[in-house]
Amino acid sequence: MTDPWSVFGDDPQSAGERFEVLRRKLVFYFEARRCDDPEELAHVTLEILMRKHGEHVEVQDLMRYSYGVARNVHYEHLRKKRAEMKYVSQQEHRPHAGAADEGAAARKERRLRCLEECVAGLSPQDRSLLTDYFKGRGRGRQESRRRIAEQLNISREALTRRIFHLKRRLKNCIDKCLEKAEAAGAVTV
Amino acid sequence: MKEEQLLGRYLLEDLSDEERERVEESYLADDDLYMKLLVAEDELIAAYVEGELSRRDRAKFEQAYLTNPHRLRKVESTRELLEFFAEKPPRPAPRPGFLRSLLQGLRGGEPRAVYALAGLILVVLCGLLSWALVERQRMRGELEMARERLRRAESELQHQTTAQTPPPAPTGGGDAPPTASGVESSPTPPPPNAGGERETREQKYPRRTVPDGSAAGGRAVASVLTFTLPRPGVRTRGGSGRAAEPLVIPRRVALVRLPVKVAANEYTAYKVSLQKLGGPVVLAQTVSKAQAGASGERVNVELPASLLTNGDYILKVMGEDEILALHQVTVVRQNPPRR
Repeated sequence: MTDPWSVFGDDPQSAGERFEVLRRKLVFYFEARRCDDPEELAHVTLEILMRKHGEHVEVQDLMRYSYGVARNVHYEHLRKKRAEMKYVSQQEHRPHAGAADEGAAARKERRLRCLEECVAGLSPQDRSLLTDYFKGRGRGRQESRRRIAEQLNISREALTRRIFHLKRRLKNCIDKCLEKAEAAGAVTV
Repeated sequence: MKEEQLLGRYLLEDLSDEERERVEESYLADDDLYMKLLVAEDELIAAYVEGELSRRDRAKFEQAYLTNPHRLRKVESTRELLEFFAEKPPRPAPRPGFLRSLLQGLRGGEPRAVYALAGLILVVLCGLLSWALVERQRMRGELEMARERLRRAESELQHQTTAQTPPPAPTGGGDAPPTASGVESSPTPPPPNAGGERETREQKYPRRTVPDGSAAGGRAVASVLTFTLPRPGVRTRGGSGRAAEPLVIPRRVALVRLPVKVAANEYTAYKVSLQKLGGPVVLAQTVSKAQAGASGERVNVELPASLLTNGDYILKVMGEDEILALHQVTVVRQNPPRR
């Protein structure tokens, strides 16, 4: 039987990287399709891919093939959901409004603390870049961003990408911070 | 449709099924397109949070994002982030340094910058002037000290010279023959502890004694050697004014002094010259006033011993246009300076 991982490449390191890239794309796809659990559906898609490869199903174009599998997974998911929704709408227990609010408020507080921690962990240049990027409103903000791009000697698009990466770094940091807090029992989800 | 626009419409679920599937297939296969899609989504969410979407797009956005928990979480994260940075006070622009702001002001022709530069130059000039004045004062002080030391040495020498000067030869009213020696022995040191004075250098460092009339030039006081020439009025005609004895200058002598007797207060200034016979003038100086001494007025001719080599010299002392003294002297160097 063929090694299922080899569908992503013969070299283990690059195979792992390709796997991760494909996984994120699939998550995005299922999110765009308004799926409740995009991570799970992406996982299912990748499992099917690897299984097919292991069963010697020829995969000439991995990405095209992955899209086909993902579409099928999505259709299957929608079908199940429609069936479940009929059942869930009859059986669903609404959580107590007060309890939900308390949970949400605590989560928000925790997120804010993690955000502060993560922003403090940025370099002074990155911190000031974010501060300058988000200040102002409307036309003034656009003008300010154009000036920032000029100062950094990069295009407006490159600046947007730089900000995007900074924000993603912050997001990952916040997620890790929240996981730690949950593991420590500070937050009940 | 431009790529950016297409991605935006895809995110707002504003494409046909066929267009949507084409976009999805594209970004699954193309990493760069996928990255552009992520950035476009980030910008779209920020635009929604900041209220910059049109009414139509806002409605579509809310339908696509606020009904999905994962997408809703993205919206909430972005809102938190924007609120966090919006609360921070604007970062003050770093103040440029003094010189940079001055240069910028000068380039811009600002009067303040010009005044600042003028002020700076003035301060620097004042500093230099103060330094120059202080330096000048200091050097003046050092000069005064050096002069004071010289005066003391001279007065000591004078005192010793006076004590050793031989009695004047009997005069016949006119020219007097030069003394046999033509040389005054160097002043002998004062009696020990005379008047409580301190020990002189001669007492401390005794040298060989030379009796009067000797051609050896007498004792040296420090490194100054004094020779006394005949009285004024001695004129040579055809070289007959040659001193009987040569001026012997020992090796260690640095300064040679030749006091020339002149009539009292006859002139306010005297021109002195010393010329090697048949050679160049080695000394030409103006002495402002004759020095009073026990034996009359003298013009002190002083010159470094290094100027004198073995040979004959003519020493001339003039007052305005009158020759007051003319001597021919023979110089003998015990260890002549190297030339």
